Amino acid sequence: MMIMMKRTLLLLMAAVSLAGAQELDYSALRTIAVQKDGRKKPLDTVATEAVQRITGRRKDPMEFLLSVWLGTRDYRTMPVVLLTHRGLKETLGLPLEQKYFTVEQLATPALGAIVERAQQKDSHAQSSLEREAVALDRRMQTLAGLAMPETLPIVPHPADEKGPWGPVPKTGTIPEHVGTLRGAFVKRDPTAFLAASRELAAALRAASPQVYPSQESLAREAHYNQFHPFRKAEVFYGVAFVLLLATWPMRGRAGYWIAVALFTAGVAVHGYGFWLRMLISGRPPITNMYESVVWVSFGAALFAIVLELIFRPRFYLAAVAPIATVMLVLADMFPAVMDPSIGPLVPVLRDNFWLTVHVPAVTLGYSAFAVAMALGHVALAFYMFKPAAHETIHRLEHFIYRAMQAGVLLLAAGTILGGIWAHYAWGRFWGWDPKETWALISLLSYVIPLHGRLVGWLRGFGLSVASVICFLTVLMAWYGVNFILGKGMHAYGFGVGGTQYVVAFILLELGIAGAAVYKRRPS
Amino acid sequence: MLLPGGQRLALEEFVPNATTETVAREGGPEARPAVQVRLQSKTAGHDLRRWLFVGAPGFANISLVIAGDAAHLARLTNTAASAATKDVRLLVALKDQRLDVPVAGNVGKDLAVPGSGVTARMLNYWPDFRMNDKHQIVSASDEPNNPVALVSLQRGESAERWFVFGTAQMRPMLREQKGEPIGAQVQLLAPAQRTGMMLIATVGGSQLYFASKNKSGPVAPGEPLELDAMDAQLTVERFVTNAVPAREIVRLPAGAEQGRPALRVTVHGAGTARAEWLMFGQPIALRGGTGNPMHLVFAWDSMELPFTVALEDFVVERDEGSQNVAGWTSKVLFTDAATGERKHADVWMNHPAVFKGYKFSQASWNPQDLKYTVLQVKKDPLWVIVLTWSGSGLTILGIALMFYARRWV
Repeated sequence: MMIMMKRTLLLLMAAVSLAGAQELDYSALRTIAVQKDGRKKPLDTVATEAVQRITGRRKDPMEFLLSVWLGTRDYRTMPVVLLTHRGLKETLGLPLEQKYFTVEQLATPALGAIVERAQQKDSHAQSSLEREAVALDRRMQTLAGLAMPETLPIVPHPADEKGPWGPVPKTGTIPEHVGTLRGAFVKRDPTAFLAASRELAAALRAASPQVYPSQESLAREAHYNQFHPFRKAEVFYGVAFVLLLATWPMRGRAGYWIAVALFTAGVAVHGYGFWLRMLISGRPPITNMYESVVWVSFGAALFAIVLELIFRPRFYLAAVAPIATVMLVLADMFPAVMDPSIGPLVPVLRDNFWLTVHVPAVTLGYSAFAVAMALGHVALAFYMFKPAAHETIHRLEHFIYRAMQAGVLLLAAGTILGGIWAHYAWGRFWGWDPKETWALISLLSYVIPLHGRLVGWLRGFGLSVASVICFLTVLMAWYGVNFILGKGMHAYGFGVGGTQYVVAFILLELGIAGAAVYKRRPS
Repeated sequence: MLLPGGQRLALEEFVPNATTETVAREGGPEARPAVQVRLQSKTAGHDLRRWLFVGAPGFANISLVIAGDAAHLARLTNTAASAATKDVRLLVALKDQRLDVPVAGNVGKDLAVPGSGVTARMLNYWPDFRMNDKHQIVSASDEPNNPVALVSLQRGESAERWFVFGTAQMRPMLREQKGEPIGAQVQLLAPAQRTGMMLIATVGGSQLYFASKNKSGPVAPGEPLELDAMDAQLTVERFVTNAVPAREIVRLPAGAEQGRPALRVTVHGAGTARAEWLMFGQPIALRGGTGNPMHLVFAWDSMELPFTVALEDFVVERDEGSQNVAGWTSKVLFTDAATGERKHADVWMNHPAVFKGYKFSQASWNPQDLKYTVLQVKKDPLWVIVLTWSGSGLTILGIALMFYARRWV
């Protein structure tokens, strides 16, 4: 909640802040193409990703990149490298209250020794300190990389569309344009700077027009970076939630409809962001952990708004808005764990029709289960604090049941589609791969309460508890297989980190369920 | 399974991944010691068990020797003799110029490399470099067991900082650089030392002794010994005085490399039963039956395709501007000699090629040798495919009907 408020505040501040004196216009430079990490991307993306990695923030990426790249500041003395790990700061003898350090402060033999030792280990065997040291080393390398002209290949290959690009050459018109740009950048002359960046952009495009990506695609990606759709969606959901809660006791119509409008705007921005991302990457949207978190929250929000508009019980929005907000905040907050950059696909996923069917089906199933869990929270809150509201509770249970059904259908369909695909491509329908096994476990764990209710083992309360507990199996199939087991044929989006948050979430959910069961115990 | 010659074969056990190892069994006619040791290293994550024989190459600097008499034993366990000179030297070489000074007394001093304009300075020196539990660099002792120095080099505007190690396995690490590279070689020369651990057995004796660089004494079975200069523990698990070597099967974890599948079989003859291990692809001779001697092999059965497959080309695509592999494609040509039918096809990840009902999928390839490819061949009868699709469709349809159309069904 705090984060959300802060975000809202930031947005407001951004709106009222006056344009600073002598702000340089980076628009022409943003859309210069760079061939990096296996694809052509605008300079804006390179800057955003580098700044995000080095500083953990997204503040003034172009300004930062240019000052390092053009060498107007010595990167070794810039206090920009993020280090928050207390233990590592202690080990390196750095001031604990400081958050940003210079390369000179950090590049010590002690860090070198830790990194050397950590890199000999499997990433799962590294301690949190070692993992942080490796990440820190990578941040410094990224920073040093920006300062080396050859790591920024902006000069297109003369003929081959897939050929390697080059750095700024020593002679010719391009280095002259870079020199002019540097001069204007140092003098902070907005007119000269814009003119120089336009000339440089035009010269680069003219160097190999048939290889150079279209201005439209470069501008689209720069727009995606600038627009930051998922953060906007996060703010919309958050504000809608606060408004909904604030106006709840009044049962007012205006407040409700404004919240619905805000939430709808959130879904629209969220979907728009996904659409942009698909256009930029030229492939189906869900290929790593970041994308799956953004997609699952989108699915949950979409389910919520559609069902809210049909049934108007307020619960859908009230339950799903905080969950969608939290998911987007998490995806935004931990770029080291969930990498938001758009990269080329691993070979297994390339040109794969089934990826566009099987993965979205499974992950939409996760969305439906997330909706069920969100409603489960609300239902359990009613059981604990307003057990007399029978009618409301009854409605909630019905919604939970429906959400679980939708999830089971989607997850079953997605898993079976995956099986058909595996039968075709890998020669077997089912191979007890970790992802397959956990998909089956979570499917079966949801089938139990559905059948249980059908035959009368469980009633509304049991179903609400199940909606919360069963989601933990989804978490295992989703996060656990990729981040804890890290094995199997579904070898994409593997990573490490974030375990403490997931464990905290599991304990919280078990605590909620346990408290509800305890409160309802027969006296 | 009845074998020709009257013997019967029973398959007892399948081990997916195994290897054979030479082990020692007690009961030989003469004194030939052997020990089974266990080496555990927390840092490297090792936990290994090995048998050591006298005269056979040891492993990880651990060897087993035999002491002929008490005087020999005393000589082997005398660690004082092995305490060599402690003189560690710093060497900086630049083309023909070199600086060669003892480390002792020179830490923190500016040392000129004669005739080169380069100044070297040892900023720090750890004779016994370790990292403690808090990841701090410390020196475990003043003995030059693992000497490491941090050396700065300066020439005019150029400056470099190097981490230099006294062991030959570790190359110097450049930690910082300003200006043009200086191009000097920095080295620490540490005196050779007895490394590792020697286990000593006496002729006919049942007591085992150990000697490392600076420690020696009797070995208590089951009690771990610390290895010098290695973050590892050695435990003698078994000590056999009159050893007979024997081959034995060792089960490996499923993912381990180097292993192969193994099969345990029993051969039942006339009133006899004999257990045998069959390693995948390694034939064994089968004796005892009537008729001709036989070989028993556990291997793939090979089958012939009714057509030929030729690999015309193998293409590796890379991400643009990088060496990352983006995909690999086998370009194959199917030829049916009987009908003269030919078909060119591409086989790549997730995109099998089908010829006459046989499906060829890209299974594996070798980045070092692009002259071959590994394809998986499978033939599914039509009814399997029909059943898979219709079964899958019916399952999904069934769930949907149960949930959303119960009033109609």
